[in-house]
Amino acid sequence: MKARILVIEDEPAINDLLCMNLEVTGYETVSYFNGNEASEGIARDHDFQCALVDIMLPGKDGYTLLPELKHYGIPVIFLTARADLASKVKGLKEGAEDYIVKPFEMLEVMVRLEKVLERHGNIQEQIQIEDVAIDTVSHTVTRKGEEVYLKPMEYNCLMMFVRNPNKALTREQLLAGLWGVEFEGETRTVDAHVGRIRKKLGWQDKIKTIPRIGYRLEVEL
Amino acid sequence: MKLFTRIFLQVARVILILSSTVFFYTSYRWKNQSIQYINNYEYSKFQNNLLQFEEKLRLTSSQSADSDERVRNRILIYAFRQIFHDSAVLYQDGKEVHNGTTYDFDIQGIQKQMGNVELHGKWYDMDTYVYDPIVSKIDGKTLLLFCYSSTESTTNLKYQIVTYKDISDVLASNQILFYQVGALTLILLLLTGTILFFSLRKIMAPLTRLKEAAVSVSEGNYDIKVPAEGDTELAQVGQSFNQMSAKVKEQIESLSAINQTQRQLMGSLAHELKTPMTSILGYADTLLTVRLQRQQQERALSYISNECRRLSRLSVKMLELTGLYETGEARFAPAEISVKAFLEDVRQLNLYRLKEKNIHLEIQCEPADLKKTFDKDLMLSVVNNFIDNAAKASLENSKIILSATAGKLMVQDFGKGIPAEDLEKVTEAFYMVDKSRSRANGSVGLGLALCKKIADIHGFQLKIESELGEGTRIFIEW
Repeated sequence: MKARILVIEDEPAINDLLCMNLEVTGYETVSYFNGNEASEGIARDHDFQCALVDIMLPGKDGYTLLPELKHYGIPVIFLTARADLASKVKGLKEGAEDYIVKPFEMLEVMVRLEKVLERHGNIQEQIQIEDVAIDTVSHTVTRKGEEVYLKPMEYNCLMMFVRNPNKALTREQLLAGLWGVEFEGETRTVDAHVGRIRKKLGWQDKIKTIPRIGYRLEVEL
Repeated sequence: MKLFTRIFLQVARVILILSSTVFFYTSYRWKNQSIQYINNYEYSKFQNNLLQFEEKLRLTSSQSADSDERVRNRILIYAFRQIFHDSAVLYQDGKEVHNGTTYDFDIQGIQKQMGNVELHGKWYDMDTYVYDPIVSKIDGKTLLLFCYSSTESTTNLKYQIVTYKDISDVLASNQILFYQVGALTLILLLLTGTILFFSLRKIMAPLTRLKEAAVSVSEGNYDIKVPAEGDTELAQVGQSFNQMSAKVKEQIESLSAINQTQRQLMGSLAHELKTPMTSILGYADTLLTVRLQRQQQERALSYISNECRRLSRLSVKMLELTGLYETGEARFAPAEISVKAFLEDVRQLNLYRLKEKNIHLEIQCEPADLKKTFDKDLMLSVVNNFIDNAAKASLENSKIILSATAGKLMVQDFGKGIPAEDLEKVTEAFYMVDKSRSRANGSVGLGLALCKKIADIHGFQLKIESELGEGTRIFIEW
């Protein structure tokens, strides 16, 4: 089952940007461009695992929508151009899960969204990609019913691809995600890990090398 | 304080020198004068006595011309004692004959001194035939000595008489007077010094305050005022100083006001840049990394292109606005212009735009030959902006009235109007009543801010009246 994400943002360009990226990664999105419309909308349909909400909205603003969303148990991530501490504190204090300041990078939004979903137990525990099944609880990977042994780093690397399907991840992003930002490793290590994952899962075609950028897991969702 | 010290020391020195000169001169003159008076008096007394003595001698000697020397001597002493009592000494041929006084005089020394009168100088300008006084100190007393040497011709007796006058008391009282006057001079000097000190301080006080004021001005406190009453040079300096600080304050305030608006503008701009930047960056990233369908790719590209266009529009408007702020009146070239012709120009410029929505532009000019002084290009941009806004607010097939009277230039539309709470803010940079709609129309929220600035430069007032659903009247009072 795909997680449903609510996108409330008055700027069409940004709204579409969020939806486009979320859908490609395997989420289902519903977007609203106006606080009042959103308020009416969630009264009818409120089965969402998370909401990305702009604070400055025409009609009801983000702060006003927050209690309504919380009423339906929808965790909220605020998106805003206001980077001042006071509005951050206000947003978080009133019960927002996270706070992302514009201009943001899509990967950041994705990671924060995943964390929120994880906290609320809305993350998929069993992931099936064609003949490969991943159990995120026991950290086991099986291919055609047979268990494939992955080293911890290889498993983490695989999870980064699985969590961001159809998105290219740069070697730097992978390095930072796996070993931490401070780690000054060779990007070659990434290549080695990706090579081993490809070999073990038979994903030579699935994990594509994107020239000058990195790797992308391509799956039909 | 340095100037103060210098003036004080200079004046004090001059007073000290002058007063001590006067003091020493007068006390010296006084002392000599009193001695001179005593001298004159005593001398005339001495002379009188001498004449009597001579007379007596002549009398007695004529009586006893033939008597022997011892008798003559006795007569001499007798006569001497009768006249001079005990106040003089009689000598004969340099030998003491009779001494009624308690002193012993050195007759040779005295005669020698008398012979050297000029040695005592000519300090005394009194016309006197008297010998200069011979002052002698004997037994701690100061004596004034008088001496007479008889010549053979008057009598046949050769004798000398020395008499004296004790002037110790006079000198002592002179000394006391000297000290008294000295002390008085000193007191006067101190008094003058004190008065000088305080009056100088009072005179210099405005200067000190001026200095303090200058320091506080340099620290950024322009409200300070120095006392500037009166017509002394210092008061004039104070007036000029006050003028200067007021002027500086004015300048600083206007500069900081400009700075403030510029900063606000910069802040709004940075904020306004964030949204298109987020979109452009996001779509570019998405295009680079995400596997998209062809249709999605095209959508992403068109977003990027639109947002870039918006940025460029924004930068053009910003340049216009900051240009107006920076050059201020420099670019401003007003001329007398026929309003009717001006309104026709406006119609020509907006013809095409209004045709899109089939809006009728009605032009009224009252009186027809109205002339006004303004910068044509700037005002054209203002009226175009008004009409642009009016056209956006209007429905299709409606009309816009552009009217000019001696008092104001007005653009009236019959569109949706502006909510009352937004009316105040519409002239602020980047303020938009309906954000998403305005952006869709391609506006960046700087138009009215620009118009207001232009009106300010002309000294005109920009006013807006609006009724929600009825329409808006925006006008310039010129």
